[in-house]
Amino acid sequence: MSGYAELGALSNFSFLEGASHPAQMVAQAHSLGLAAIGIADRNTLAGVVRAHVAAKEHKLRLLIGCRLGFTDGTELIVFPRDRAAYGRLCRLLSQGKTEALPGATDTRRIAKAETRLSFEQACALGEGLVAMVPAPDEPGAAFAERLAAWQRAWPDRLYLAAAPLWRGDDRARLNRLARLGVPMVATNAARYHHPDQRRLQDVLTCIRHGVTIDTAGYLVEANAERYLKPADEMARLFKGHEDALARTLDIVAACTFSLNELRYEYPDEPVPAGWTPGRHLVALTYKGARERWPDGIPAKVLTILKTELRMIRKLRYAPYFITVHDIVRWARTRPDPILCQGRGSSANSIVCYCLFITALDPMMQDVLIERFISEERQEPPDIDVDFEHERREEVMQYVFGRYGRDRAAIVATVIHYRPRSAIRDVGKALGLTEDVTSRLAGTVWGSFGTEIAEGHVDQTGIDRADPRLLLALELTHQLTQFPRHLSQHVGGFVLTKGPLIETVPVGNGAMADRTFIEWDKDDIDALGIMKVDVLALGMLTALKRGFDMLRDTYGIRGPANGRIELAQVPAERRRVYTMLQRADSLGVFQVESRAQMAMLPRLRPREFYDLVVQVAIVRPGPIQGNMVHPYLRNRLLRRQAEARGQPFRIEFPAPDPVHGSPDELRNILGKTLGVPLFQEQAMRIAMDAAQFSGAEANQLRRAMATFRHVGTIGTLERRMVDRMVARGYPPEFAENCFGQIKGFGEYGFPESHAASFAHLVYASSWLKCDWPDVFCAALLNSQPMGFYAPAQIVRDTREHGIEVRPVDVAASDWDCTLERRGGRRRRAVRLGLRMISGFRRVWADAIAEARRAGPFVSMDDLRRRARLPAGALDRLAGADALGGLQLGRRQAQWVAKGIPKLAAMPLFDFAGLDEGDGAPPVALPRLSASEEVVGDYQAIRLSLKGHPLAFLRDRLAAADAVPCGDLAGVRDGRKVTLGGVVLVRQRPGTAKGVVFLTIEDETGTANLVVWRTLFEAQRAVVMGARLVLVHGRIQRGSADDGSVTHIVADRFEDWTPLLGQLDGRIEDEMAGTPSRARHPRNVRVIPASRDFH
Amino acid sequence: MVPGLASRPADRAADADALAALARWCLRWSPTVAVDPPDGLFLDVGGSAHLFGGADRLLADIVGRLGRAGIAVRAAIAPTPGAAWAAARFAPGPATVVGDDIASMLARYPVAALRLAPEVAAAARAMSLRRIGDLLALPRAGLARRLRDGDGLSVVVRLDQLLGHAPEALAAIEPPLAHVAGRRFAEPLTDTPQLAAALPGLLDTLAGQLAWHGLGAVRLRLAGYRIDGDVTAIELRLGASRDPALWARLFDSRGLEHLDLGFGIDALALAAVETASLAEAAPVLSADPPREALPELLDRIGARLGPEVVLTAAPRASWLPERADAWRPVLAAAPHAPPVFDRARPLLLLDPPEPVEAALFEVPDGAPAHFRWRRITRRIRRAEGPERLSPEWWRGRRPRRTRDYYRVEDESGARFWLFREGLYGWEDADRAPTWWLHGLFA
Repeated sequence: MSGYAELGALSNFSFLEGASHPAQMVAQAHSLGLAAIGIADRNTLAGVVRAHVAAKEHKLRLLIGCRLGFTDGTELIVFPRDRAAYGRLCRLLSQGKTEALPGATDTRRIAKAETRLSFEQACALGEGLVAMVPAPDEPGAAFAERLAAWQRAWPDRLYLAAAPLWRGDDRARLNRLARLGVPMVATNAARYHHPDQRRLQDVLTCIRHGVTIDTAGYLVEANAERYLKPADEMARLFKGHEDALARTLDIVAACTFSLNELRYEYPDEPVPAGWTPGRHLVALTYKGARERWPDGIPAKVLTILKTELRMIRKLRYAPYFITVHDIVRWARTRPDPILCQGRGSSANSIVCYCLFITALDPMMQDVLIERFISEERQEPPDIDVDFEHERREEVMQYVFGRYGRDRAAIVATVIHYRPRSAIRDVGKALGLTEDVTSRLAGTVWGSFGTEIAEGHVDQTGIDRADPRLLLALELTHQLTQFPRHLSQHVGGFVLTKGPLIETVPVGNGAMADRTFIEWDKDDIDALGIMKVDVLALGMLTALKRGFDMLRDTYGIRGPANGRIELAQVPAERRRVYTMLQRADSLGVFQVESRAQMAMLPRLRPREFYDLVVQVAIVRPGPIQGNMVHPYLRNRLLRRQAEARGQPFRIEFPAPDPVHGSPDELRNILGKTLGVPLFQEQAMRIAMDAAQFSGAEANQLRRAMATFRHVGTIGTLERRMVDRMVARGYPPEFAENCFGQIKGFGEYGFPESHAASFAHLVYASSWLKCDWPDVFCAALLNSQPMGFYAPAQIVRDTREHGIEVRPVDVAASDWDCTLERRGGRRRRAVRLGLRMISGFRRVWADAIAEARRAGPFVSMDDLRRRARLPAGALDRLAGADALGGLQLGRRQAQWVAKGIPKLAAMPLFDFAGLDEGDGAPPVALPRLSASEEVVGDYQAIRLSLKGHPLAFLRDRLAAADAVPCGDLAGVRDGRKVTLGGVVLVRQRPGTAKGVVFLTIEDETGTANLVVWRTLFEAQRAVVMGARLVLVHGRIQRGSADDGSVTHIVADRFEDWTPLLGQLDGRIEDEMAGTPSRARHPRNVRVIPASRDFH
Repeated sequence: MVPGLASRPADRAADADALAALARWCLRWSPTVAVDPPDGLFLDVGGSAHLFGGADRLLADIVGRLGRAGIAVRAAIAPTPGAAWAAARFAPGPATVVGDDIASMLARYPVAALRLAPEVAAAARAMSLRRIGDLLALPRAGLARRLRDGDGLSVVVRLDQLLGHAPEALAAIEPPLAHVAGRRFAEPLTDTPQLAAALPGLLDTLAGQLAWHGLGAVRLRLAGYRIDGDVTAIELRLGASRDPALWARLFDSRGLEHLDLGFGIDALALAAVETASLAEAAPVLSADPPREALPELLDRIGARLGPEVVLTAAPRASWLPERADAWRPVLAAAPHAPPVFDRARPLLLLDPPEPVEAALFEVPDGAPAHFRWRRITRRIRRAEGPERLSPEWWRGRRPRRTRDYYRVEDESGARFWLFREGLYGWEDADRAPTWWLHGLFA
């Protein structure tokens, strides 16, 4: 043990100040052989768990601390001695982040990321906190006085932390500090782990101050000395002050607290007085079981149920299940129940089914290999609950209300620098112009792109020989993945029995009424703290609306107050699967994306478990692990065998009989035809076939989750392969096995999640299949959600023979509704007023209310009776929603524009005066059909009157373009030309730079494949164009692949400007468009494509 | 998106200046020229077209001359400014709109040709009204009610201006200057001495005007109006002053012969184009002739050599001693508050630093026991340091290694500022650190 511990270190969780990750600081301290490191970030404990995990890995002593910054500008570094002192520190920080200072005049709500603290507050909670006062550059008399006063006031030991400054007078300054009478502690106030980080720290300083590096002047440090220094170097710098070094060790010895001591206790609210959680859970479970199986619980269920309950009792997880049950029960028993469904490794248990957390009968499906909590893995149970996305807020407020804000809070999400944000900030700091940085930023695909590739830089036309630019790219690379700020997680709750604010600081969120803790999901996981995810899912909203519509319109009733629930969806209907096999899945949960649609005819789902596989297989994990083809091949072989009436059997390699059962792999992989598709299977192979211990398996899971631990995964690979070989597996099989597991990478999908999702896939498919009218209306009423825009949903619905009627004040409500349709069984969908961009619900409700008294006779009648402002009428007119008043779009627009913008004068109404100026003049020009269509698109993002491309068909035909709908008749491999608007762009990470485009014309859609070389060559068009003409070759899947058709693009033409002609704009026909003519992209004709990465 | 595309940041101020310069140039075609930012000019050619052989010839002349000057121009001549604006932008080529029936000629033009505020254009678009003809067919009251901008300017006004039913005044350039002294001559002046003789009177008059207003001239413009209709002018830029004698000297050194008198000028105008407030100078009581004040000296040198070359030293925020000051034009605006700097620096800084041989120093960062500079060895009695300054990595120039500075005192009591370039250990390990003398303390 060496004689020095650095206790004044900051990490990059002191945002824009520290220039190294906590783990880097810890690793460096370890390799320098320091006795310990104390990381004390500015007013936050956000980085401590990461430091803790790293310190555990390196077996280095870590002191958890905080650099308190008081509102008067003074500072104090504190380290808790023990758990109690740590609790007080958390409480202190939480106070500073949520409450105004006592007695302060400034009582505004504390903003997100703001902290207001005073030394007096810190004193009040300072018991057990060892403190260090950072010495200022010029320790004058005022400082000496404050130091003495603080020493008297502070309830624990207080030191003076001195760091060398390299200003030329360090020796004299240290001597002066040592004479101040407060024991001095040596520190280097490290801001980064290695001197090479100085450049990055200078850039961070510039970003913080909003200056460029050239004008930063004395704001940046004069040298690169604020790095972690070894003990002998510190001893040299503090020569003559050896006691200052020794004191660092005193402090380390005094502060024994470690995050390992955080013992987590579940809240006990939902347990009735006098009951233990275990007994209560048993009671709840059996009560639920009797509801689920009114005719008696099957013996098989009972056996498993007992096993599950036994294990829950053993691991003391009962409170967790009760807590989740409490939330779900509350949501389900609202007067208007909130639809919800649980998922996660513990969700697919019979206990959860009995607690109504899930609606998926686990016995019937018999799906799960590793169904329950893994005892060996010591993981906390994990249940995420999805709620209707529009009503999740109610659930969150319930949780806050039930547990109180000091015991319930939302988990943080650490927002990291992405290349796009990093290049912007670095570029600005290095004085690059805005247009250069935005062009560089623009080369990153989506905000989640991971790097700025060099080739892309060349494409921007920026000179790469420019040294500043090279610097900027290099520093951008370094800054990427730096934490930037904390934000709140969408719905992860941490609930505790004792006050949460004594476990972790809690701060105000950006939203009023929201508080969140400083740790994120990974931190919580690392510490084994329980969290419940209260998530929002659009499809649940849509299903709930669909079920309500079934009841209200068609009179189909379920058991719960007549309401239908997920559990009542009729199971295993053959026609539902037939529909999915045709890839007729637009709008269906999960399996509606291009890749999923392409997979459906190949996988040919015919039972529920196939949907579980379908959900999980189109993921980067299985695709990168090359699992898709073997799986599909085995399915084909099985189909063929069945057709011949032969049994189908896969041969599994087996271990040496002395080592284990020959069926050990069959048990794991039998269900997925010998191919590992789920995360659970990967873990299970490691544990059974390679005999990994629980801890090792956990390590493997983490290495898989964050694929950055490249070193770790190599070690694990050797270990797993060696052990499998030792147990008698063929070496190449073992290697192959690991290769597949590795392929899961970040994206391995757990079977438990897939099963819950598959249930929603089935339910939404059933609705689409049997009740397409209901499905359409429910989807439209739940927008925005899903993969497709309303235009595609409406189009698909009409292609299924359902009439869709236009928005009309004479018939439309806010929501889309179902209308009778002359004796037909399925009703027509009436588009709702919600479809109109910018329309408000209050207006729609007023219209519906006023309409009850009788139909509107004129726009003025409508305005007066529904009390609509001019803006509402304007939007109705723009949406052509006044057809019921015999007003065409242009006439309506004329009349609407004539109404004064100011609120209506009641006096005029009473006098029956018309505020408008009468009927529209006859001279108003007629709108062309294309203008009508474009007008529809601009107002409601779709048109029932036609497709914009229909009006360009002549131009397209002149360019030899084939309608998308005619592709079926074109032979495989033929060259074709197509024109269409771009609906969706995708560049999956798995596809090696390939981009997929979905385009649409008036006859249908087509899927384009753009290879990397073409993409690089025509990047601007591929990424930017709204309307493209594409030349390519048609590529059809083989028979066993189903009939999926792609166009492999050879060349693109950007036809976007033609869209501008559709709405009758006429600048273009005048020779020499004026220079300031707006690019058609700026005038919205077609809604923007949806781009996924 | 477009590889190889050169791009420069937009400079709107420079664009505006260029447009104003172009407007002055256009005075050759008409005395009434108005600037229509950001990219338009109005010329009232009603009285001057015949001088160029009619409207068509004039238009050809304008397009031709501007084109040869490298300016891409779209031009049109029409009876009203509005119609000309529309035709210049939306006609296929240079157009001359004549006759009274502007309406039928421009009906095909898009509504945008009416110079509408964006919100009005959007409202027209929202009613699917695309062409001027669409608007002309509709009732005026209805249009006025629906299409008006935030200031109440309605489309009807624009239509009337287009058709000539409503007047439209052009804001011509060269508004009369507040501070100008002028004189007309019955006989044109044809040579510089005549001009020089006429100048003092103007200078006195202008100085008197400025004194009355408590102002000093920052820019003076002397313009001669030539009998051939051209204008010739020279300008002076100075620190604020109103001393006619100083001005006279400055004009003299600038050289009045730079005014191109051509066949003679019949009027002379001296204008203070730019002024700044200047308090009344206290009268000097001393009997000695007043010495020339520094600002006036600077004015004089600046006038002769150009203001950019008269420089003064100013502090600059840099840790590197040799970069801690910078030369900037003395007549330029003074930099905002100078950076605060509190570290000890020698009175004399050697530029460049001079190499020394240092001996007996402690590695890594001790001061030497003695050093040899300019062939004299000095034994160090006291030393303080190091002060560590790292290179400015973002500039990519020397120095590239970190420096450790020491304040040292030799046995004679002389104090020096030594530095060692290069850190022992991690910085550029294969080049040994070197010692330098950078300055001398008093």
